Amino acid sequence: MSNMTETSNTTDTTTTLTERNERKNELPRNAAEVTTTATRRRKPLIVVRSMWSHTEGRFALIVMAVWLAVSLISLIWTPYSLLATDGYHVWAKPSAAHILGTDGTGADVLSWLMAGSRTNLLIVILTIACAAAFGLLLVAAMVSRHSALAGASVVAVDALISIPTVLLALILAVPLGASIMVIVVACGFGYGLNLARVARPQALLAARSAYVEAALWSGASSLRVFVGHVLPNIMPVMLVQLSLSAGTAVLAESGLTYLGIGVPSGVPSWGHSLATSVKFINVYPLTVLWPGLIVTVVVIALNLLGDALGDAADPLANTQLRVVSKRAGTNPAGDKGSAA
Amino acid sequence: MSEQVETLATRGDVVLSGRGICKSYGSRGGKRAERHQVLFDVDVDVYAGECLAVIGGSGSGKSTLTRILLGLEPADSGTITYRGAVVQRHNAAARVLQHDSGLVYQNPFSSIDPRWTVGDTVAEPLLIRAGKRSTVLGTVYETLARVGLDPVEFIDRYPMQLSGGQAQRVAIARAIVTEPTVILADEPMSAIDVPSRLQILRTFDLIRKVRPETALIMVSHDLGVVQHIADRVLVLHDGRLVETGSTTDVLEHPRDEYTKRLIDAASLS
Repeated sequence: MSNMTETSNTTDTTTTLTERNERKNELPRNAAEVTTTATRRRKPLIVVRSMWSHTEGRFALIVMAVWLAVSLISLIWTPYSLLATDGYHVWAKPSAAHILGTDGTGADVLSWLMAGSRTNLLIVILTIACAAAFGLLLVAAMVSRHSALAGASVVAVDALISIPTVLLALILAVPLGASIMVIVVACGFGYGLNLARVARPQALLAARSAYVEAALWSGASSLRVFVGHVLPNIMPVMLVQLSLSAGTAVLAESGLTYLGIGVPSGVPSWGHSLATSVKFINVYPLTVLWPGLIVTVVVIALNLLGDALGDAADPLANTQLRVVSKRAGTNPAGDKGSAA
Repeated sequence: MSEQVETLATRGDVVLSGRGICKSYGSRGGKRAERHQVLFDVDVDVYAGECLAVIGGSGSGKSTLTRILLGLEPADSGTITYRGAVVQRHNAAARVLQHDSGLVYQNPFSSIDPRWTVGDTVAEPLLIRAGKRSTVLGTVYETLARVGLDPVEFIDRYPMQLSGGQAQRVAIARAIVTEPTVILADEPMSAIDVPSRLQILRTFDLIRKVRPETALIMVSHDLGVVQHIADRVLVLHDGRLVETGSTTDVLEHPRDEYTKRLIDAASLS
């Protein structure tokens, strides 16, 4: 105790009360606000740049951009009307008039694939939204401080995950018929369960951590803790899992539409294009090749997107997100501090 | 034991007090005999403005006692009072104690969110108490400066860009940003290197100098640290309070055999 005053007098790094108050007046508070706000604003740009700097990320971004652009364009323009058929040119090979050829009714394949892209995009977005919402709800229950709720939800997830998505879709198709909602609900449910199971260990680590205890001690609500601490810490796992699910949703749309319980007849989708032409694969393979190729490329891109986005958006993995003050020059601790 | 406490010359009012604290751990629904008792009828008082060090060997119940004192864990039996009001789970006194206290943990890297910047971490307790980001930044700035970290340099850093000592000072900044009356520091220097320990000690010294009414409860097994910072020492052995008194009395004239062994062991290391 006797050393206390001496120590504080000799310190170089700390300041006395008077010095502190003087310094407080000198502190560029606005600069601090600008620094932190600027960092937040720059973050999305840094994430996109980081993704672009890797081949896989660049490929995923290009495919996603093309998919989005084609979907939007198809809302206002396609080379031919979807209802237009040419009885004289059925199963036509690619030509200047029909770039990807025509199908068995003489309809333009490119027009149907363009229109189908927006249906698939809608299905993927709705399925991922559904899976994320359901999965996060389950994660929240599984890491709850109420042990009965946590235990019950773990058992429920383990039991429900054994139900195949196709079986669930068949059950849903009984009252709903062939519908986009069948795909969205069946896949969203199944992928939500997968997400919960995969994200639970990471979520549990965060939820039982000292920083969460400190936040709760400061008066934070459970929702605030979940959104502020648990969610960012499971985000890398979640992004990868959801991107895999998005790819699987594209495949599921094709499969369920082929079975007749997915996208209803007459609504353009890649699965619909596959289902109507697959019977003639031996005679006219090109009409199957185009939608098959698109589905393959999109699924690969979605899988790569998750990896690239997970790495780029995570400050632990992406050094560009970690600001090092210009004033400090270099980081004295380096990145080895975390090992301490 | 309370007589020893009464002989101390310099202290404020008792802010936090525990009487007859017992605690045991065991499987839920297990028989009493299967439970492992870690605290036996412990009495403790914490005075305003003092630094109380809780020392003892591993498994002696130091952390459990302090966590029970602040309401982080429930006791099997005993009474906790904060400023004269009995603290019970979720009652008004418990909320006031929670509002008036700050926590510093052993490992700084596991006690601050790895995906939050320093600025966000320190601002969190203020933001939780209905503050807006623009209004709390000044206080965050000031608090970082108080713990010896240059705000301009550190506010946008992530924990992985900090050394152990810097990370612990961020954790301390988070604990003191709301200007608490009671700070619980559970072995805050055991997971960091020696030069950083000195910085942490200086930080605690400064906090106490700036806010002399703040009570600091420090769990430690480092008697050098205790000698430097603590006004009073409480010695636990196998969950029992064996000795308490001023730091000088306990460390220079230990009465209990266990305390003597503890001091001898510390002098050997």
